[in-house]
Amino acid sequence: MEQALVTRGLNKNYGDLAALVDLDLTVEAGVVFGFLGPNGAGKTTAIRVFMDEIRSSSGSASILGHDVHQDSVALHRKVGYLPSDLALYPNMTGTDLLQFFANLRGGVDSQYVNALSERLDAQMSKKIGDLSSGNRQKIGIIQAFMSNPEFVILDEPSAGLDPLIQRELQALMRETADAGGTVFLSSHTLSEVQRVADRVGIIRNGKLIAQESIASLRAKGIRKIEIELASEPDPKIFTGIPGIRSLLIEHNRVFIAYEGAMQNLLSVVMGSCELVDVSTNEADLEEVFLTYYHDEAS
Amino acid sequence: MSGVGSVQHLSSKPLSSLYGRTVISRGRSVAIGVVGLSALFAFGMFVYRGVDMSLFNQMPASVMSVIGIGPEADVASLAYNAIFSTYGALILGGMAIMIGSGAIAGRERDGTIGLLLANPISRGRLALEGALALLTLYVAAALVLLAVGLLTPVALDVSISGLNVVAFIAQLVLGTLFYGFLALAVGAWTGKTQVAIGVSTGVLIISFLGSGLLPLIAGWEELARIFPWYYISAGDPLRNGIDLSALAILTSASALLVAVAWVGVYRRDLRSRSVRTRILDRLREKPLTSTLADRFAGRTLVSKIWIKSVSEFQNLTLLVSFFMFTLMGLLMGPIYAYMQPNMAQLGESFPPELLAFFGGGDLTSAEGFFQLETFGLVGPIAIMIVTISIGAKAIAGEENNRTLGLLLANPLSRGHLLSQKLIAMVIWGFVVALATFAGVSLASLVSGLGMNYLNILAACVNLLLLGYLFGGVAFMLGAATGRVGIAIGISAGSAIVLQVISAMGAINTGWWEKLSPFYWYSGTDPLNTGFTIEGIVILVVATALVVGSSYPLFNRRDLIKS
Repeated sequence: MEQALVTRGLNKNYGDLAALVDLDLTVEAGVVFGFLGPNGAGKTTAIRVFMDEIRSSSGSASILGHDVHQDSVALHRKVGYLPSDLALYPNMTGTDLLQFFANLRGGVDSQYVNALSERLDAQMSKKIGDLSSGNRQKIGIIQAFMSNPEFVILDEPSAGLDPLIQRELQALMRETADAGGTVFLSSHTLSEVQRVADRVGIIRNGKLIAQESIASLRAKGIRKIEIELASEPDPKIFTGIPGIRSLLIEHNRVFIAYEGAMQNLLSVVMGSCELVDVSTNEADLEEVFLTYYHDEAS
Repeated sequence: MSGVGSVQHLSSKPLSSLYGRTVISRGRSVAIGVVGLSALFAFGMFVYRGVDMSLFNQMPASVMSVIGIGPEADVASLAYNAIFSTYGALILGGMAIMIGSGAIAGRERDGTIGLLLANPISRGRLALEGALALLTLYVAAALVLLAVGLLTPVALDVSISGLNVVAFIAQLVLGTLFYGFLALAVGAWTGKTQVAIGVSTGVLIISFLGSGLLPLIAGWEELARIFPWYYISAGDPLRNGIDLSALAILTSASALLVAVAWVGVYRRDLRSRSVRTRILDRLREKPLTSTLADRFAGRTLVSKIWIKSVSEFQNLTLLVSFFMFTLMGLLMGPIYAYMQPNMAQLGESFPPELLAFFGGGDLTSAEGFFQLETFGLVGPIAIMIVTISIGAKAIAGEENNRTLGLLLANPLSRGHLLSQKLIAMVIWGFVVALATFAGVSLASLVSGLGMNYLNILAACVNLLLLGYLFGGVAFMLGAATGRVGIAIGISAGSAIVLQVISAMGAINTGWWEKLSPFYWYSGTDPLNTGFTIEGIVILVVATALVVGSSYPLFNRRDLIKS
C-alpha cells in the first residue's frame, strides 16, 4: 500500500525539553489514522512540524512524497488542515473567510463548499467573531475539506460540536478515506477514534508507544464475558485457558474477564458443556489505552 | 496550616493581587521607557554643556517664558525643558494611554474580562484598580526621573541652583497621567481599545500642538489654557515651584476621569472579543445595497492577502492622512499668515539650538514654520503611527491572533506572505505622505506663501522614506520575533533616540549626527534646498537592508503558538 505520511527519527526539542522523541510514524494512503494521546503528549507539536509551522530538531517527515519543510508549498496544495484551538478572523463572515482561503488556493469548487456548509448546518453570513465556538469550528472544518484535499490533518476537530455534527464530521472523514484520501485525526477522545479510525498511533511524552490497527488493538482488549450453560460447570475446565483474568461462577452462569481470541475460550467451554447463551461487552479501547499508559509508566 | 492560611490570604484580597499583577506586567515597559528617557536626558545635558548660552540670552523675555525658559537661560533648564517637557511628556503620555486603555477595554479585547469578573470583584473595583496601578507606576517613574534629574547635573558638573526639580517632575508626571485616565475612561465607556487609544492620542497630539502654537499668536495666548498639555509646564515649575492652579486642575480632572470610568463600566454590556461593524457591513445586510456593498466589503477584500491587509488599516490611515492634510497642512497656511507680522517682530528670537529639538526650522519664513510644525515632530510621529502599526502587525499580529498557522497552511511561501504584507505598509505610508504634500502645497497656494512645490515634495518624500525605514524595522522585528510589543517598542524607541541624536547634532555638530536617519530626513533642510540624492539613497538602502533581512529571519524560525 502507498505510504501517505512517513516520519523517521523525528525529534523536536525546546531547549532541554524533548517534545518529540525519535518519532517513526507511517500512515498508509486511504485510511483514517487516529493519533491518540493525552493532553501535552506531543500530538499538536507533531502536526505543527507536518505543517511547517515549526521545524524539527532532527529526523525527517514527508507527506504524499513531499518533504514537509523543503517542499511545503507544493504539499499544502494537497493538504487540508484544521488546527486545534481554532482561531479565525473575527471580522470576516464565514463566506468571506472561505472565499479568502479559496483564493489563496487558486479557487475551489463553490458547489462543494455549499454542500459542505449545508451538511454541517454552518452559519455563513454572520461575522465569525459573533459565532459560538461550535459554529466557528464548522467554518474551520469546511475550510479544511473544501479543496477536496488528498491529505487532511484534523487536530481535535470535534471540539465544541454537538453529537449530530460530530457524526456528520465522522462521515466526512470516512468518505474522504473511501475515496482514496488520507485523514490524520488527532484526538484524546477514544470513542471518536474508535468509531472512525482504521489504524491508530498512540503517543505519550513525545514517544510513539504503539501503532496498529483498531481491530488488533481491540483484540488486546479485556472483554467481560457472560456465559450461560445448561448446568453448573466444573471450574477446572477454565484453569487451562490462557488469558482469563478473573472468573466467577454462579450456578450455571459464568462471568469471565478475558484477554485473547474468543475462539480459544469458546472451543474449550463448548467441548465440555452445553452452551445456552453468550453475551460479551464490547472491547473497551479505554482500558487498552490505559493499559498502554500503565505499561509505559511502570 | 500555613497552606490554608495562604489560600485565605489570596482569596480575601482579590483587588490587591489584581492590582499587583497589573503593576508587575506593565512595570517592565514603564521601566524601559523611563530608562530610555533618563539616558536621553543625560545625553541632552551633556551636549547642551558645550553650547554658547549667550545666544539664548538675546531672546526677548516673552519668548523665553513661552518656551519655558527663565530670563537667564542655563544649561540645566534647557535640558530639563527640551528633554523632559517634550520627549518625556510624549513618552509618558503615550505609555499612560497604553496602560489606561488596557485596564478595562484591553481585557475585553483579550476576552479575559468575563472570567475576571466571575470572581467576586466588582466592575468599579476593576476601574479603580487600573487607575491605582497606573498611579503607582507613575509615582515610581517620577522618583526615578527625579533621581536622574538630580544626579546627572552633579555628574556633569552643571549647576542647578535655583531650580525646583521636584516640582518640575511632579507636574510633568501629573500632566501626563491625565491621558492615561482619559484612556481608562473612554475604554470604560466604549469597551473598545482602539477608540480609547485613538481618542486619547488625538487629544494628546492636538493639545501638544495647541498649547505650543497658540501662545505664539498675539491675543490668543490665554486660549492655550484649554489644552491639558499646557498644565505640564504651566507657571514654570522649574523656577517657581509647583503651580497650585495647575495642580488643582490636573488633580481634579484626573479624579473626574476615574469617576467617569467608574460610572461608565457599569452602564453597558461587556464585550467579548470585539467585532467591528463597519458601514459597509450594514449596507451588505440591506437587500437594496447588498450586491454593491458585497463587492467592496466581501469579494474584493478577500481576493488577495495584501488587499485584505490594506482594508484592515484603512480607518487608522485615513484618519492620520486627514489629520496631516487639514490640521498640519491646510490650516497651517492661514495660521502662519496670521502670525507672520508677529514673527517678524520677534525677529530671529528663537535660537536654532532650541528649535532643533522640535525638528528645526526658523520661524521667520513659511518654510521654517512648516519645518517646525508639520515636519518637525508631528509628521514623523503621524507617518510612523501608520507604518509601525502595519509593519509590527504584519506577521506578529497574525501570530498574536493565532491565525498565522492556518494562513500558511495554504499553498504560499513565507516569503510570499511577507511581500504581500509589505504592500499594505507601502501603500498606506504613501497615502499619508501624499496627504501631507497636498495639504502643505494647498496651504501655500491658498495663503499665498510662495513655497517651492518641488521642495515640499522633497520634504514629503523624505517623510515617506523615514516612515518606511522605521515601519520596516517594526516589520523585520515582528517577522523575526512574532511579538507585536517588541516590534513596536524597539522601532518607536529607536526612532526617539535617533531623533534626539539628530537634534543634538544640530546644536553641536559632529560626524555622529549623520548616523541618524533623522539627519537625512530633515537635517538637509529639504523645504529650502529640495532633494538630497545622498539622503534618499541612504534611507532607501537602509530600509532595503532592514526589510530584506526579515525574509531569512522569518523563514528560519518556528511560529509562536499563542
